[in-house]
Amino acid sequence: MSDLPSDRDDLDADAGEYVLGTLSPEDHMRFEMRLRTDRQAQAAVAYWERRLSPLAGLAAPAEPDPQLFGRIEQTINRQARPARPGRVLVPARTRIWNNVTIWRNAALAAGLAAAAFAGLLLIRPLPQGGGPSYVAVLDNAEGAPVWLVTADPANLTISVDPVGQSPNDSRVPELWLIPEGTDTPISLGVLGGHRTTAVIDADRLAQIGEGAVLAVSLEPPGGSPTGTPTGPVVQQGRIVPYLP
Amino acid sequence: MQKVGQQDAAAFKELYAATASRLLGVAMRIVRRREVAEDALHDAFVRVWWHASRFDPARGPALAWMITIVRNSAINHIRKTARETALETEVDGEADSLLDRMAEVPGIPAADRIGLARCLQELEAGPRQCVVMAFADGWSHEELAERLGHPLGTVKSWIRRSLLRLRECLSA
Repeated sequence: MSDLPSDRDDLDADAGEYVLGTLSPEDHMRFEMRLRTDRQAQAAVAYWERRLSPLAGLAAPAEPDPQLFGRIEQTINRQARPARPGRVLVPARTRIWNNVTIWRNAALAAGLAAAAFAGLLLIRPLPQGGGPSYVAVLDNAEGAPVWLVTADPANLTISVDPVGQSPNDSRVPELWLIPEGTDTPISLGVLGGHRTTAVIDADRLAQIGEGAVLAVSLEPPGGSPTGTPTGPVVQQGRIVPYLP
Repeated sequence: MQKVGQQDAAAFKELYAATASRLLGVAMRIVRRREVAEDALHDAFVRVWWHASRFDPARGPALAWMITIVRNSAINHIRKTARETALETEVDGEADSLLDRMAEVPGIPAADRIGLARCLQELEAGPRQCVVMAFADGWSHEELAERLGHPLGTVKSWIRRSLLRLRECLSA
């Protein structure tokens, strides 16, 4: 075997470590993002899942509590229940994005699959003229909110508010959109320590919907030099609509 | 699994009945506490329900895919709640007994089990122990280094090199 690692070796070792669970949380998220679109990476993970699975035989089986299945069903039913309108009252014209709890609770009350889609919730707040139409809470790996993203289709803008601690890093956070069914991250801009607003075209805004992913990567000052994420993905999540 | 992907509740119940005790065992070995392991299993099955339609049978056995979900869920749970410090370290012993200790898992082909045991045995003892314990116990590089008494850099390179050697051996 050659001592020079090839790209293929790197991918296989990354995929193997992903399945073993030994990647750092940052690398794990980064690899997960790659898995969304990279068929070779998907195949490499499937290979290791199959090849390492016999090691599960090292653990002695344990009978779960008889009530556990009921709990699982309850969670699924709660998540599947369609949201009802008007359950969450949010005062109009307040800076609601300062209050992440409201959005989080709104999302939970709406029965969104928060657990299944840990990371990001994109929800549609109560319809009211001129206000933002989508709000997304972008969490870090510990579940703490870091960014709040609001999309305002009327004005073709996306705004991002920092709501948590910024990453302690000389690199700068850059926001990416990966529309459903594509494998090309689109840069929505570099994020600052204060509110960032980007004007985007209507086509792009239309791509923000269910199945799309928003992600934040750390890039050199000024943003990614290549137009695609080059640094670690520190936050990411799937967009889940709130359907009133 | 395809039926579960079409949100067939009866098929989901069957899948649970057939796999829950095996998967809870996998989670218990990682988190070491029954209630945390059951929480991990809960999260994993909720995820299986919502993601089953994306499972591709051409990828391999459904159980192998579910094992990854359960292990990830268990590892997330221990990273959220600090792992028990009084945890007894059962360091994996000799490879000779690996095949014996690796019970047959229904749904995983016997040939895969025998092949993996054979190829693991070809690794040196230190690297093999790291790979086996990373999988079975969900230990991170740091935990492996500390508990097995090896330098961190050694553990990291052992794991990557062992994976590539396993790949070579398994495809031979």
